[in-house]
Amino acid sequence: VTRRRALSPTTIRVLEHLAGVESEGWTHGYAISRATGTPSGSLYPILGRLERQGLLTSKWQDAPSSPGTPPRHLYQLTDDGRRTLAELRTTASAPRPARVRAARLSTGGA
Amino acid sequence: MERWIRWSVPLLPRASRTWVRASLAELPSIPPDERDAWLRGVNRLVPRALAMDVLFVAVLALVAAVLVLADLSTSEMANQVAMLLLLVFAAALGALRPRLAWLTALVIGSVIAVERIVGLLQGHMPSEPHAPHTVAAAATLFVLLVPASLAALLGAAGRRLVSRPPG
Repeated sequence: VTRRRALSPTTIRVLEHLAGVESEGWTHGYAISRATGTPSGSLYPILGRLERQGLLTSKWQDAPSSPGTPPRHLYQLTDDGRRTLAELRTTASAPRPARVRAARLSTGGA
Repeated sequence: MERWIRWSVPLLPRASRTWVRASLAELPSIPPDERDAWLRGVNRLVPRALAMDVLFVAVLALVAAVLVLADLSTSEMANQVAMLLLLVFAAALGALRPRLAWLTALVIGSVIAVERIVGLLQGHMPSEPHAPHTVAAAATLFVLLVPASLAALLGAAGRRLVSRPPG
């Protein structure tokens, strides 16, 4: 079954940011929030949705970055996430009708 | 605010719990002047995550009321109907909220016993000749916890089986 779900501009900004930091590995919620201007109350539901759709993966830090602080939750774009973003970038430069069609992304199948 | 959020974490569904914990783990890294805004955002996640559970508890209360009404009916079929409803509702609600299947089993499995005991304590004797006429006898109806638990667990297991990702 192929489910189609439109991605909001904020969600796309989050994906763009994750793609940008990918070479450095994992990133954390506050960094994403700062880079995309997304408040925490909106950011985490977005991260949850993206993870459920298989567009990003998350993990807890093995050890805290500084003593006395809790381990942080880290995020990274998956291959599906990269593909989705590439599709979005392609369609962003396409003529308008194609862009509208492609804004609805396939997230459950091929 | 932070204390209230931390207190509410164990009450949240597992997925939301992870996100709220993740957002709280960011706090030490956030500049002090931005922490309040961050916490206000996190604070908005909590009622949103709990809303479905509150709705579920309301549905559960409604179902319990329906079971009581079915049991209070003077129809000859009342017991069978109540039993059928008990099994169907327990399975359906177990499937609806697998995480709260234990609560479904507890409420649905004990509602009839509680209703009969409360009735006896208030002096209402059941008109049905075979119905328990003492509190101790009515308490044996807590045995309905067994079929209710089985039905709720089956419902929950069925839901988990269906919603399991392929592969």
